[in-house]
Amino acid sequence: MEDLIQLLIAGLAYGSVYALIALGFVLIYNAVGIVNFAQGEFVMVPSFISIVFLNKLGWPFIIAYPATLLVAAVFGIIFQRVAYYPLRRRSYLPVVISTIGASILLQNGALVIFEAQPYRPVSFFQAGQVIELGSARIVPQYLLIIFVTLLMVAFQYWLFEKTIIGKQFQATAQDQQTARLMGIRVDRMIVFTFIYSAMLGGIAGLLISPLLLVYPLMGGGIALKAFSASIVGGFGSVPGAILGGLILGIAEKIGARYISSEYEQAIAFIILIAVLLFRSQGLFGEKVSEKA
Amino acid sequence: MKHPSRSLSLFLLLVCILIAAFVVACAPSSTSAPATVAPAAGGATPTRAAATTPSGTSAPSSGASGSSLGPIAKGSAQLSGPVVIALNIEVTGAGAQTGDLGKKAIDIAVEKVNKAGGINGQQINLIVEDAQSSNQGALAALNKAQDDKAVLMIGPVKSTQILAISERIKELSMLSLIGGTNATLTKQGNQWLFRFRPDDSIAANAMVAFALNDLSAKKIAILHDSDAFGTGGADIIEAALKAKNLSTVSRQKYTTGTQDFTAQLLAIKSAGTDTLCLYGTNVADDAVIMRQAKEQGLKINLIGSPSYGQAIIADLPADVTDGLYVVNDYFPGRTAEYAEYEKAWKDKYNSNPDTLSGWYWDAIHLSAQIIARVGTDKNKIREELLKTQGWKGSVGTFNFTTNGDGRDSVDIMQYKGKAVQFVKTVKGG
Amino acid sequence: MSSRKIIYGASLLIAALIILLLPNLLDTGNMTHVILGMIYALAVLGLHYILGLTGQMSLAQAAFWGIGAYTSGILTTRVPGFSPWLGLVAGAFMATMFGLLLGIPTLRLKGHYLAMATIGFGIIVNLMLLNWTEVTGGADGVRALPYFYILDFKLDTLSKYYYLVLAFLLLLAGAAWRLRRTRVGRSLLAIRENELAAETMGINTTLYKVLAFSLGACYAGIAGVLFAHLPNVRYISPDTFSFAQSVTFLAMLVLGGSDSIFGAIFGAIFLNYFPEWLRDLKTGYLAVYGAGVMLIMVFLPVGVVGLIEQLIRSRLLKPRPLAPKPELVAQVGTPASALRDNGAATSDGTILWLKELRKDFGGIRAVDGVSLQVKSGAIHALIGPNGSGKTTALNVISGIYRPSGGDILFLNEAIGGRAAWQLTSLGLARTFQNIRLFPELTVLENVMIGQHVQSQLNFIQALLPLPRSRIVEQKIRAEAVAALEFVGLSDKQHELAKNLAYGQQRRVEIARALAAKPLLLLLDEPAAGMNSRETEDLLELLRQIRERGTTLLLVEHDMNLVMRLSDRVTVLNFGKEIADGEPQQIERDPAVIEAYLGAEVVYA
Repeated sequence: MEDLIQLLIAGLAYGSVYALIALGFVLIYNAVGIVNFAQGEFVMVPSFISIVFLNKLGWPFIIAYPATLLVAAVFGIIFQRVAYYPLRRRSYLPVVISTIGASILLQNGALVIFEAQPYRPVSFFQAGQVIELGSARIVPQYLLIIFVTLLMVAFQYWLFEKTIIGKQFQATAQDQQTARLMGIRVDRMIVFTFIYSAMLGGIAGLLISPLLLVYPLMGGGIALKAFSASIVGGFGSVPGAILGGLILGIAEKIGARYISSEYEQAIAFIILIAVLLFRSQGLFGEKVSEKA
Repeated sequence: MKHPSRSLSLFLLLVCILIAAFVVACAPSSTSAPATVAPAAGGATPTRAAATTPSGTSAPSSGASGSSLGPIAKGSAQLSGPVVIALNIEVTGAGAQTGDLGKKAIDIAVEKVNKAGGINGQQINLIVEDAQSSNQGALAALNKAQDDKAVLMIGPVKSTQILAISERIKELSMLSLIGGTNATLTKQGNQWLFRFRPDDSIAANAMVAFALNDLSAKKIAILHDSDAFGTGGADIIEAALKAKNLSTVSRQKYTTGTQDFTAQLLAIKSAGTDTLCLYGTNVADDAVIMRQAKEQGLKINLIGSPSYGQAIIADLPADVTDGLYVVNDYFPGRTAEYAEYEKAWKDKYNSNPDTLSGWYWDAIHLSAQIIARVGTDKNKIREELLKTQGWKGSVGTFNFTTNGDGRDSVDIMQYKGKAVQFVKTVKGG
Repeated sequence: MSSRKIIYGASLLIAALIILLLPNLLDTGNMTHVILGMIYALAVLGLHYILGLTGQMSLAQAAFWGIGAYTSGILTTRVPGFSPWLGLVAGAFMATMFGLLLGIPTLRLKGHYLAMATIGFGIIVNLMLLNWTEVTGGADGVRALPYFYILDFKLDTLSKYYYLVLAFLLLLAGAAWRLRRTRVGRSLLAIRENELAAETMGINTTLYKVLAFSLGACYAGIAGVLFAHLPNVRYISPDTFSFAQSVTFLAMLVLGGSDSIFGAIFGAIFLNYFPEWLRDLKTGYLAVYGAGVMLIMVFLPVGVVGLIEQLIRSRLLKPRPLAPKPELVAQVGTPASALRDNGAATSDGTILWLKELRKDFGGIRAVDGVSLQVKSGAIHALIGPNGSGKTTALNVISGIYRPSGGDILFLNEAIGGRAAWQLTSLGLARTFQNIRLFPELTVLENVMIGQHVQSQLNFIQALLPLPRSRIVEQKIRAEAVAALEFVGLSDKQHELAKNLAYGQQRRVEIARALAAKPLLLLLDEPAAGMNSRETEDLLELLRQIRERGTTLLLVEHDMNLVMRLSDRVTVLNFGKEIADGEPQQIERDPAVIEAYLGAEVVYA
């Protein structure tokens, strides 16, 4: 039973991270109709930035964390400009390949600059610190992750449903042409999407880097699972991305404990393929058809 | 294309251009013999066909033929020209960084030998072949070493790469001084493989012996990477336990790059484990495992594979690592041979030496000494290698077995607070 | 002319000589790179079918490569007497089967899902190779695979093996070359260029995508077997068949040019040699390679070799347009005889009958109980203000949308809910409001694709140099040229469709639809965007088509055109039918006037 509680909390924590990154995927997909294969680097790059600020420059959290997110935002702009903008009028395929290229470039660029040895960022909680609940031992960082994710989901709801910029964003996501006619500056909205997506990645990075350490390949695996999560939940659907992330996170932990630890890394993808086979619109998605 | 003959011509025209371009591009490396270029000592050496110039100093003679100590390689063998030694190492790709450390170790060793007058007056001409961090790349590197008429090849250090090229090594009779630790490498009847590191069976057996004898373990569990290294190590641990009519209480696998071990550690905990053997490859995984073991309150003996000795583990808070045992190739800093390696490294690179690359240094020294005695005939070098007993290198003492295994012991060390202490040397087998 | 022939002949001879003598020209190290590059090229050629021809994203190519390698590796080392040749068959078969297994369910999905599903599949395969130790040997891999033998001749050196790999490369590249230029290859290209248009041309897009996918997997499987038995190695381990390798295959393909066979081969061999040139960059070379992929996408989307081929094609080897055959031109616009017989059998004069047709999108009813009858041989117009549901009705009739209610009878047969591609062979063809040509293909190829349902050539026949396949292809080409002549564009045969003027593109689209020899041609706003001169020509063209026996149903805005051309007009407003009759009646109908005047007030 204690095992189960611990597994559930770990599953929720990792699932929250998947969900945060999946949200970034979905936002970009909704805005410009491409899947960003460098989304994992949206996590990795800010994590390394935080290493520079926290470890190398020794800044306090209160400065280093916002500064990291600021740099993440700038990174989002640059990424948009380099990997997406030149190809914006072409079909999705060149853009997807371009983001794959960007991913290789960023991973190996980081390898050249920071080398393969992992870094451990300064963090709120000491590594190894736990809260004991009965005989279950709960890692405070997990609780922090779950809490921040809830906060971000609430923030996103407010931003997109209750503010003008959110409405403009939604209009852009639905139909760029019409949005343009309505006087929305679509290009600016797209840049905004990339910034927001990169900042979500940055938050995910800040949350998990104390757990996983920071190294050039840290983003790849998580991003693929986050992507699976968004498909499992229903691609393009924001609640779907969140629920998909949580489902995968928990399924992984339970599966690894009670079914097979060596196939833990496959669980997310097995669920993905099963969902694609039997419910291709995802668990919470709606079917859409192409317009002639 | 509507006219087949035209299409065909276009096809062939293109093929022709492409092939011509390719042949031209390849020609320099395939026709020119490895030239001895002369960079300034201490400068960066070109990666291909590189060698350092003789510095003109006459080599002081010393009788210490049984050690890497001392600057020279002198003997009676007549050498007709530079001694070509190939290095099969990962210059590009995912393994480039460890490859670079290995190359640094080799460079200082070659530089030292060459500065001291080379091997009987002949320079070592080191040729660096890129294994491209893949099995196929290691093969191409081996074939190039053959094209460049290398006397012997040092590397690869990755077991799968050695498995992949073992057959070809045999075909070419390429004397290969390897660093791969997979136990089976030297047990497949390939007489040309000589291993300069203790193999996994030595390390894994030492782990078991230490757990049973020194820690009085009753319930042993294994947590290992599912790659070749981790699986091989875990298999040997299980076999060693079986030989004593024991078995593991839990064996958990994970894939390299797994980012959470809650499930595996819970399973180990609930099996009532008292001693956990950790067989990992990727140090980032190791660090997460250590942290989570602490979080899970796993108050049991932990014995880790060599990767647990690396900097990021030592960098973890002291209460996370405290008490962790690590089985390592050797415990650095206990011998004069190591001190010399350390000094050479520090002089040249102004940083702490990479301990896992020490064997490269030893491989150059031992082979230089043997070539000085018997010349470049690979059969003779091979026989001499087999006869080598009690030779002291920076990483420890070499006693070659008939299989070509040079090392027969590992050192066990332990984290105590922030420090790492030597515990004991354990002979494997 | 003859001097050209001499140059071609000479270059042919030199190329052949160099290829044949390559093992003598290169040392072993470079030879290793060449052979590995050639083996990669096979896998990349497979990807060329999937990505290059069909425009689908696959990141599982290394997994299929691994499945081929492991199938042969396991069977030849464990089953006594199982030769590598059998291993080759088994490896190719297994890879193809896995290709089908993955392709059939996922290819119904759009591109991104496919890309993701293939990544997931690749990771699962890799984990199985690693962890399913009893079968795959786990992380240690499979050792000591047997050599290939040709009779008693043992292929035990790289030089001997080179010829084996070369033979496969030539054979499979040749097959790819052939396929690209047949009905099957063009169908794949049509899917890449415009999936919806391909579907309305009668191409079963799912079937063809699965075909491309399993063909790609098959090539990768063959490459895998050849890799596994490489004489110097004869060893395989899971780490070789990783996701990163799939990405490398992709990079190889886009570097050379995804739609170019030479590009695939060049990309594979070049990128395999690439680290050698950039080795001074060490780890950084991978960063350069990532940046290179991005740069190619931006500046050289057709790839290096693709660009060279384009230049050669447009500058040096521009083919002459084929002359149309008058007897075929005279037939254009006449429905195929088999279809005519069907039509005659049910000739109560009604060719298409809509009964209470409905189409809902979510809560919105776009078409609300429309009934109409299209008489054989008529020109029937469907008009109405913007948003009145005309185009939606057309899309339901042509099978792009499923009807929400009501019946569609075509020649007395209920066709509601059938896929678009099934309707084409029944005698239904269409054009689109926003032109949907295959932009990167030539005008001639566009129209040849229109012939899809009027020709029979299956995949096997397409691959083999049979006399039948040549005859079929010649017929398709001749018919297409005739259709182009009919619309007045036979001199533009070899232009790319995207380079044509707007009005010309409309004509090509009509020629493409006519190539299917339909009984009923659906035209969605054919005059949209045309000037008055072009509209006049169009009017003339449509009349001719009707005279030759094809019934026309058109959605149109241009009232002038409708009134002059149509035999009968149906008017829709807000999804409902408000009038139906002859043009003169309609012009005077108060409901119609109100609907249009109301609309005009809004849009004035």
